[in-house]
Amino acid sequence: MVINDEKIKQIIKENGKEKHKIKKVLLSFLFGGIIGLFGEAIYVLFSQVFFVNHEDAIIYSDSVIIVISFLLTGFGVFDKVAQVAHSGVLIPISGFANSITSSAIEGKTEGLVFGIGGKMFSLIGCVFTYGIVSSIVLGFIYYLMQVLK
Amino acid sequence: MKSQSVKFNNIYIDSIGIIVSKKEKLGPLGMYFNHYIDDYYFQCKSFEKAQIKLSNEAIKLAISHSIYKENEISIAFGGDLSNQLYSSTASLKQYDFPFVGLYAACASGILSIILASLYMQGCDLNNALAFTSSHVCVSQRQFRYPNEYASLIKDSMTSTVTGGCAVILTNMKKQIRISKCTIGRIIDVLSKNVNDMGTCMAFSAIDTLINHLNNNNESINDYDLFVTGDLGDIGSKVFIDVLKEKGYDIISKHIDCGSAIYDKEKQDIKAGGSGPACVMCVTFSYIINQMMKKIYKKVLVIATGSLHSQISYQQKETIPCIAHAIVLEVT
Amino acid sequence: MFLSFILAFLVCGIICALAEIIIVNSKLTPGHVTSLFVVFGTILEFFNIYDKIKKIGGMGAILPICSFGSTIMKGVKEGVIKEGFIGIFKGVFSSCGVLIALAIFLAFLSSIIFKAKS
Repeated sequence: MVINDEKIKQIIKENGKEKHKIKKVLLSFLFGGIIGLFGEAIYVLFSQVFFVNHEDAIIYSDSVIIVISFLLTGFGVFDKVAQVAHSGVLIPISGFANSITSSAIEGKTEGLVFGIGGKMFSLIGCVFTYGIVSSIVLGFIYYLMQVLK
Repeated sequence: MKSQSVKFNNIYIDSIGIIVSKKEKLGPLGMYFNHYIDDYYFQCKSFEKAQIKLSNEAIKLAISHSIYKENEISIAFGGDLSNQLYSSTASLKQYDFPFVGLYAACASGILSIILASLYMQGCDLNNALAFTSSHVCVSQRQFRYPNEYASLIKDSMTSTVTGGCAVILTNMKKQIRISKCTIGRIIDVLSKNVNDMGTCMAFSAIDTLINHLNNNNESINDYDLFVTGDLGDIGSKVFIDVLKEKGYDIISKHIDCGSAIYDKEKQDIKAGGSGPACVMCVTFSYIINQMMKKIYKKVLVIATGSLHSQISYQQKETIPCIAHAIVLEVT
Repeated sequence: MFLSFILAFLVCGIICALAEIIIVNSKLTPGHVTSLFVVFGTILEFFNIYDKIKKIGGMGAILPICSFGSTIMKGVKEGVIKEGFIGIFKGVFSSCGVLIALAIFLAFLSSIIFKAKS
């Protein structure tokens, strides 16, 4: 039986609304900012103290965040941090590392090929796909612009 | 519809086997659970194998407390949330009795009791086994995201109860009988929100409750308690409010198993528990305990299930729900 | 230097807050928003805007996932200038390869070392 009732739809809509929106946005801002701060501190450490060049210092800084996320995910702590921090830890590269690590850990019980290898990109695949597809499409346009110059 | 409801003449509860995880043991109803596991792996290599072991242990416990031996069990009915019902099937491999697998999402346990009772009555058998199980990590993997993934848990989400419950029914007179059942109809309120299943399942529970009372010419005063499976806090409120508008005020005699099984503040649970083991573990421990003490003499247990799949959700289909009910009575 | 810290905090914080505003006000999941931001990063890099944001925010603009899109776009642009049409495809993995390689390697390692918990 399909019940198409406006009142029921209103109840469903009301119950589906998010609560504490402002608190979540502020927490995301705070934790996102802390990660940005931490990343900048590592960059400064590598470029000023270890005298690494600009590009490599960026890579080191990204890598430190990735390694920390990988460890936190492995020890089962990252998801608990994310409940507090919301997008603050999901949007930076830490979220990327968590997606790929959690998918790989999850696939362990299905073996090396179909489990780990096959499931590793289940959550992060969309990021690669749309990043690459959009870059190639815009790349075509850029190429045409260069040819017409 | 009259065809939904059936009266049972001689179906009694012989024995019960329940095993839960530490999380349920630490909840408000922990004292009613005698067996629990410390770790979600249950000394197995995967969560799926752990769920099979939970189901198997519950069945062993039920048989050990039963007047019937393992080779005297006539038939088994069982179902769970795992793909292709593998957990239920695998937990019975060592046994020789016939098996019927069934799926009603979180109402699978109660539906297995209904079908076991119908089969016993129709084929004049002296016993039958009904069982179910669920595991939070298996459900999370199957329906949502990998367990370590930082998925944001919404306030309306329920958490699957980890546990196994098996019930052996008999035609010999015992303290608690299953006197009636009502099989539910598919109710689709056109909700696409899988993060709030309580709200859409509430409407199927309402439909089954009203049909049950009408088919049996009964009123809410004929029952001491109405138990719902896993509507959670949000679904329970919708259930109570909409029923009140229709003239059924049951706020003083309603318990939702999902809301009762966890302490939301201390255990960091959002809307409550869910899963086929939720209604079974709470009903056949706490509710039966209260009935043995004659606190409740006639209870209507309505288990709800949301019948979506991962693909149906991704293809933006609506969520059809169903609710199956049994009546427990003190003899 | 102190200023660069404050700017990193603000830029990364604002990008994350923007993502959260989209998530709480719509039915989009973090997965959707991440993909959206990657495409934003690509588009902003196409118009040379993301470079300016990186100069202001430093690591605060490089850490969010939008910089992943901008890194790929930068590689594609350089590929087009150096090698023409085939450069579009050659340039995709030229700059972001380090992070992808590290992430895959660590994910594989974690699946060997760690076990999933609840």
